[in-house]
This record gives sequence, structure tokens and C-alpha cells, in this order.
Amino acid sequence: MLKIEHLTKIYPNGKRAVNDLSLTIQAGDIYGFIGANGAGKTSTIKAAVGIHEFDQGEIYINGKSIRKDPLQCKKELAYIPDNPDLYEHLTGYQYINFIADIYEVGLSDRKKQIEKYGELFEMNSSLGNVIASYSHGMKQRTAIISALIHKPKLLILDEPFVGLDPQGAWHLKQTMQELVQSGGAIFFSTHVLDVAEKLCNKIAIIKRGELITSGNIETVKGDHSLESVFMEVQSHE
Amino acid sequence: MNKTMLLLKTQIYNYFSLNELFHSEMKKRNFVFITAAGIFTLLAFLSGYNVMTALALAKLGQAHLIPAYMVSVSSFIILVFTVLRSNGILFGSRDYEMLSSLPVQAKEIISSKFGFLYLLNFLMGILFILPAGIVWQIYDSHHLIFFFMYLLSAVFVPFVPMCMASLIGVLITAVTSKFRRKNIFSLIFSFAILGGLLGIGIYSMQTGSSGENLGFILMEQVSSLYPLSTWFYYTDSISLVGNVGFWFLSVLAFFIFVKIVERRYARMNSYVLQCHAASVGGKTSLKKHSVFSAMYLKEIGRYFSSYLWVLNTGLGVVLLCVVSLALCVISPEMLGKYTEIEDVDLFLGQFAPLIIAAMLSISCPAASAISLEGKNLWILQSVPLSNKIFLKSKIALTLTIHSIGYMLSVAVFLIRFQFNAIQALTLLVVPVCYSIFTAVQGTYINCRFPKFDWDNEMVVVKQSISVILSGVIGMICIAVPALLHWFLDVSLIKVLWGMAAILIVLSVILYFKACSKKII
Repeated sequence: MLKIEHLTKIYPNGKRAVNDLSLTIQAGDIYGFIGANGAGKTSTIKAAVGIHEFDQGEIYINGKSIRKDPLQCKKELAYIPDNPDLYEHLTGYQYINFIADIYEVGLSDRKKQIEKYGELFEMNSSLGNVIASYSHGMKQRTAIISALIHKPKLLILDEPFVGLDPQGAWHLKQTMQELVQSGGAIFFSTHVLDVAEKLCNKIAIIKRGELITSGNIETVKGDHSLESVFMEVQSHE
Repeated sequence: MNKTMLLLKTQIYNYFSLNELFHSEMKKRNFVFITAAGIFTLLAFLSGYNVMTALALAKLGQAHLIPAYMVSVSSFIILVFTVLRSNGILFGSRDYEMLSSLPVQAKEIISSKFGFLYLLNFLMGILFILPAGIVWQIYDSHHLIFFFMYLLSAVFVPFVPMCMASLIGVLITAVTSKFRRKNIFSLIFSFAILGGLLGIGIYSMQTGSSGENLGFILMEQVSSLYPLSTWFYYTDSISLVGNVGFWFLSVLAFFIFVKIVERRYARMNSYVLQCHAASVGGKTSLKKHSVFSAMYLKEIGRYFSSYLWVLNTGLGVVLLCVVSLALCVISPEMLGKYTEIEDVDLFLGQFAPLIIAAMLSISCPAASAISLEGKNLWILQSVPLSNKIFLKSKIALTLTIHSIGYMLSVAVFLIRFQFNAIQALTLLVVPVCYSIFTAVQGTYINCRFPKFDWDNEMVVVKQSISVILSGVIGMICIAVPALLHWFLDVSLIKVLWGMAAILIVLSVILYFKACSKKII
């Protein structure tokens, strides 16, 4: 579903944010991406969704290159950033409708999706209000609903649980499970190691732009907790 | 360093992106220096114009009027410019919540923000006062102390017009905050006040035309434009008392302003920043649009949701509409009498296309439309949207805004005045070519110099590199045919058609160049 091959991203100031990183996310995977602040998680994710250009390597979405065929790749994925800055002048409905227009989602489909996820994330009563009046959590929920509007096969999320209340976080986890059960895949970064441990079947740990370890969560952590593995990785120079 | 100065310093660093300028790579720095050179050239032109005005007064034997004239005109210009920007700098800034959580007093925040506005206006004022002052000193030399007092007054000149303009801004905010569509009402009030100010300016400069001698007429005009300028006639040593009085009055105006605003600062900001959460259409209003229509509607919505964007980029179109509506009630004969133009039909037959084109050229939302995506850019970067549709929606926004002024003005001109076929065709075609070029060049320049990292829309709408460059290019495109006509005596209609053809070719080239730049 998502294949990252030897990805290297160097910023104009010369900083090597990601160095020769390779990962494969298959259908049915909930793939957690873990690392300290500034480790290169967001840079990798932004390259994978086509926001950032990269210097070396290749990224494939369902076999298509994000560099050569960005529009086809983006049609199959959805991205939710850690801090969703949405169009504040629009109402929730208008924003989701706008995203649905861009993905060319049919009218009846978009209505069904909005109804389903609006109710699940308890946003139906607020979607008629302008986004400028929303709290951070409400913006996050609106971004999630709009990301699911076109039934993406691949969902890429950057710190999706930040700002969500326990109920919202629970519903998001259920939605993630549902998506992978229907043949989709999820790649997300997180600092919440407990969530990663319980939710993911695969995990990757990145440190200073380099992939330290990746694979099935049981293989990566062995008999230890994910937290102790992560702390050990961080303490090694 | 006290807190006000500390806040002011931070604001200057933030507003002019000084850290970026001094710590960014060479290529970016070069662009900034090119823009700085462009701004410097414009300022040099403005200074040159003021020197010429001062020389004209001196040659008419009225050199003693130069100080009052310059104080009057610079104060009026500061008043108009501050009305355009006070609500973006004094109130509604995104750093308000952060600042109010710090141990600083409201008066320190107001003083630092006012201080920032003051710095911009002081630079504007000095362009009028200094060059013309030198001409005054040469032609009407008295004691050096007069010259020194006059120069020192430049420090105080911005205070009164700034306080007046800021209070107008406060008034607009207070009145319109009760409305749900406060942006639209703010715009109507702001345009009405700007129109009123310009009207007062024009009226003042026509008073006294039946007076006895030229000096008296000019003196009357200057003092009716700005009554405080009467304290700048340096006739004897008593005049200096008036000068000192002006300084005290200016400082007093500032203190009164801070005292008034300080009490209500938190409330004023919450008025500006509040948004009405009331429902605007439910899911029944969901409609399917094409990708382009969705982007276009989003652009239109974004434009009219931004008070500062409309106020600063819609002025030309609004002026065009106001002039067109005025022409509906003013007969060509009356217009001819009022403007002292003998044959109005002949004059407008030649100049109307250029007048409409000039008004459209100064209205260029496209020059800031890409930058205004700001932190929302990730949305368009992560969805399947082509760069072409993205750019087309930006161009379409500008063309739509232009079309309002164009259709109204062309219809009024064609109905009210007698044009021959060529003149009518020129009127129809030339403004369209200018409009297309304005939209495309604004988009292209914004593609080349986007600024996504901003805290205040004013930084993008008024001060960004793309807006300044695009404005300069627009002015050059208007000046070239006019200068060719005046200095080389070439037929204006022919020059305009030639210019229109060049602009269309340039538009096509710039459009394809813009499409090749990856923004999303």
C-alpha cells in the first residue's frame, strides 16, 4: 500500500532530516511511527503525502510514484496533520463539502459519510458553525471526518490523538480498526506509546532521521514493554 | 529596555522578517534586496515629486507656504493610510492572546503597537517634510532655528492624524461588532469614511478659489485641509510658540488616545477576534461542484471573509463603481464645467480606457492570494488538486472582482458619453487586457515570492514582496502609454492597443511560467 525506498530529505540549511529510510506498509497494517521530537517523523510523513519534495529515494502509493503521479496517489490516501489548520471562514459542512468536491465524491456518498462520521464523532450539531468558533478537538474531528469522506485506502496521520478527548480518541481507534479490516492501511506517528502498543501490529522507531528498527511489534519489543525499548534506543549514542 | 520597547522590537523583527533576512540563504536575501531597491526607488520618486511641488510654490513666490503645505498634505496622507491599516495592527492581531497572558499592561501593548504604526508613518512624513524643507530653506531663508524647529516637528506630525485614524478604526469596530456579518459592515463603513476623507481633501483644495491673491487662496486651501498646519507659517519668532504648541498638542492627543483605548482594549480585541458560531446552512445545503468551482467558491468566500484583504485590494474597483454611479447623475456638461475640460467626450474617448485600466490595476488580490493560504496550505498540498486549477482559481478571483467595476463603468461610459466605434471598442477591450495581465502577473509574482509564515494578514496584504512588486509593475504599465502619449505625441488609442497586445502576450508567458512553479 505504501512503500518508502531509501528516502533522504535534506533541508535548505543542510540539515539531513531523514536519511536512507525504507519502510513497507501493507493492506491490513496499522503501522506506528515512533521517535523523539525532531527525529524526522513529520518530514517522512509529509514526503509520503506529497507535501514535501525529497532529495533521494522513492515513495510508492499502491505502486504509483508520489513524485511522478502525485494526483493519482493522493486520490487513494488521506492525511491528517498534528495541528489541523482548517479554513476558518467556512462552516464544518462547507469544509467537508469542499474536500468532497476535490475528491469528486458523489452527493449521496458524501451525505452518508458525513452522517456516519458526524454522529460517531459527535459533530452533527456543530458542523453548521464556522470553523473559527471550534476548539482544537473539534477541528481535529472535522479534519478526521473530511479525511474519511472519500473512503481512502491509506490513512496517514501525524500525532492523531493530540487534542482529542478520551471519547474522540476511542472512536478514532475504532475507525482505524474498521478501515484496516476492510482492506485499508494506516501509517501514523505518535508519542503515546501505550496506544501504539495496543493498536499497532507493526512499528518503526526513528532517531535523528535514521530508521533504528521496524517490523512486527512483538518482534521489535520482544519481552519488554515498548516504552523500555524506546528509552533504550534513545539512550544509545 | 522597558517593556514597550521590547514589544516594539519584537514586532519589528516579526513584521519585517528580519531574522529571515539576516539568516537566510543568499538567493532569498538577494530577492529582499531587490525589493528594497524597488521600494527605495518609489520613495525617491515621492521625494522628487515633493521637491517639484515645493519648487513650484517657490517659483510662484509662495515659498513661505512650503512648511504648512507639507505638514498638511503629509498629515492627510497619514490619516488615510492609517485608516487602511489600524485595525490590522492595533486590534485583532494573532499575538493578542499570547501578549495578554504576559505580565504587561494594556497601555504597554497599545503603545508598542502604536509605536510600530508611528515608525511607518514617520518615514512617510519625513519624505514630505525633509526634501521640501531644504527647498524652503534655499528659497525663503530665515533663521536656521526655524528650519531646525520645522524638522523637529516631523517627529510630532504623525501623532494627531494617527490618533484620529485609529479612533475611526475603533469606532468602525465598535459599531460593526454587533452585526453577524461584521466584515461586510466594516467594509461599507471603511469605504464610506475613506470616500468622505477624499471628498473633504478635494473640497478643501478647491476652497478659496474666488479669493483675492494666489498666496491667500493657497493659504486658505492648506489650512482647510488641516487646520493645525496654520502653526507652520514662520513669520516671526512668535511662530515658534505655535510650533511648540503643536508638539504639546500632538503628545497630548497620543496620551488621550492611549487612555481611551486602554480601558476598552481587551473588549475591543474580543470584538474583533470573536466569531459568531450561529449555524450557516446545514447538510441539506450540501452541493456537488466541479474541482475548479469548489476552489473558486472557496477563494471568493476567503476574499470576502477578510476585511483587510478587501479594504486594501478592492479600493480601485470600489472607486471605479463610485465614479460610475456619480457619472449617472452628473451630466457630461456639468462634468466638463466642474473639471474645466472643454470637450469631455473627446477627453474621455481617449482616456477612459486608461482610467478604468488604472483602477483595475491597483486592485490585485492575486498578488497576495497564494501567500494568504498560510497555514492552510497543507490542505491543498495533500489533496488531489493540480497546480493549474489552484492557480486558475486565484486568477479567477481577481477577474471576478474586476468584472464588477468593469461592467458597471463601461456601461455608464458608453451610455453617458458620445464615443466613436474605435473609441468604444478600445473602451471595451483595453481594460480587459489590463485586468487579465494584472491577475496573471500578480499570481506569477506571488508564485515566485510566496510568504506562508505570517501572524497578521496585513504583513501579506500590504507589505509582502509580491504585493509591492506587483503594484510597481501595475503602475509602470499605466505610466508607459500615458508618458508615450504626452512626451512623444503618439496617439493614445494606438499606444493603448499596442500595450494591450503586449500585455496579453506577457500574460500567456507568465501563466505558463507560473504553472511550472510547484506550490502545491
